[in-house]
Amino acid sequence: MKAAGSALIILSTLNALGSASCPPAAKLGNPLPGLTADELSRFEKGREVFERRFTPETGLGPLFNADACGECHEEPLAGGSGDEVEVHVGSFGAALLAGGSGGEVDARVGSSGASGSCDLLVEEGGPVIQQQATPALQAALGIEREPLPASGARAARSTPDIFGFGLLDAVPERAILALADPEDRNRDGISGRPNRFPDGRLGRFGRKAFVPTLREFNAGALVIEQGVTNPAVPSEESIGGKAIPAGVDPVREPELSEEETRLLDDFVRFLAPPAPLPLDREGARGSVIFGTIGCGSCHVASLATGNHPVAALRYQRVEAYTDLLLHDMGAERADICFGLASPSEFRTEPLMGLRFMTAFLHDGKAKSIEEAIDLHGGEAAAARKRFQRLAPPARAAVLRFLGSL
Amino acid sequence: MRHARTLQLLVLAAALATTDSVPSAAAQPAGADHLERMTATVRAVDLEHRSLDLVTGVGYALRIRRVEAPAGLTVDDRGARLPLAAVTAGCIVRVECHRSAAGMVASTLELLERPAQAPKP
Repeated sequence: MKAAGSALIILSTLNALGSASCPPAAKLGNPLPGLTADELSRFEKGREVFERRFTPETGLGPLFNADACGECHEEPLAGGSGDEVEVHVGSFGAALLAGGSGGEVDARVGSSGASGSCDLLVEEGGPVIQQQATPALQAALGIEREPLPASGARAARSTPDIFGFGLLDAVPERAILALADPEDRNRDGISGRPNRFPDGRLGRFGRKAFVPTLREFNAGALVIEQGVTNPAVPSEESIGGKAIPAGVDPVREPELSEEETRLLDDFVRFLAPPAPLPLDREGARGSVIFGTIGCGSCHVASLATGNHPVAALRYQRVEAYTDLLLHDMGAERADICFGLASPSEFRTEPLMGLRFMTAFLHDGKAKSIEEAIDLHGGEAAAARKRFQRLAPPARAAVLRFLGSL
Repeated sequence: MRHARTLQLLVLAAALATTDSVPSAAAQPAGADHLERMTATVRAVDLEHRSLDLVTGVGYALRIRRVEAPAGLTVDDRGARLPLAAVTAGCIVRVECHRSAAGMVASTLELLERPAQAPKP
């Protein structure tokens, strides 16, 4: 990670000096600069799908968390963060044994099992708990939300903003893997581990870097958050593992067409990242200190996109302050596993758009940037301690810099 | 070790490379003969009944697919032919299968990767 750290310092300095290598900044909520007329048209049409309020008659539910993407991703405008906090579940250490002599399937040894495997409780309804039910489902089953699984750990998940995620999607896998150091061979105390989807592909989206592509994240979110099926996910979520009763879902699958699913995806993909505020002398100093105390070992200042069919996403630099890898955040932050991510491992949270957030960390527990830093543990403990030992003016400089993102 | 792991991931990623389309949670239709191909993590193997439960899906919308492995079907492990017992929970497999009255039936079963090392709690 030393190379990454050095690169960060250079990039931070360039940033502070007003490097002109970035594409022109877009106003928050605007599309990426350089989109074609057709892409701009799809962005605007996709915004309508993003903000559309679904009803049971147009596909909502029967289980859901929100009736529109824009219901949660709303602050300060569409694509932003929100105050909704979800419940995710998983069971770590559940050994899923092969058949064995008795032919028994899915034998478990419980949470103390030695296999270290992660069970996302798919047969119990999956890792995301839907906290609302349509009136028809309430009437049929007498439930107001999806029942929680009997076993497993729970986690709170705040709503992040999604500005600039199209650029993160366009970062080549090799660029992410080049930052990984799972064995910490350079002995800097920072590892960085890739997560993997069940089909083996590299993950990058979600607080545990589980989902490989933005398109899949969006298509899956339509179903797990709104209960809106689409061609990529043509079946509803189960109700705690049980089938949906007949007659409670009046809309035939898929409930959203391929074209509208793609428009929604294009809206999210083409959302520009927030332009950082211009740095004054204090903020510029803070950006350098941010690198020198080690924050940039995980919050890598800049990633570069690769070749891409969309010119506006091709060979761009995105100042995301993430490496899209998993890092141990310490036992106090541990909650659930997700794929290869252990309960204490989280993907380095992108810091672009940080100034618009009102709650911080994956669970929204921290109410200020400084509190979020104080709650960093595990691999981040050393950098946190260096921050805490800074003289007050230097600490203020770092916070000034972070407040500009 | 780092480079070996990285190379392993790159090779696997290349093998699994997808194009513009999103894999369906119900797996990808692979032609008019109703063959389906899916790459997934094995959740459980039932050797007595010769079936596998596979974790597949799109995003966080995950699904379990049960696939029958008919008698005589072997596991292709980089060209080696292995018995079904070679597949365990956590393996990543590529399956080609077709629908039958009893469910999904595998016609090929390829072992892509054995379980990754367990992370520390």
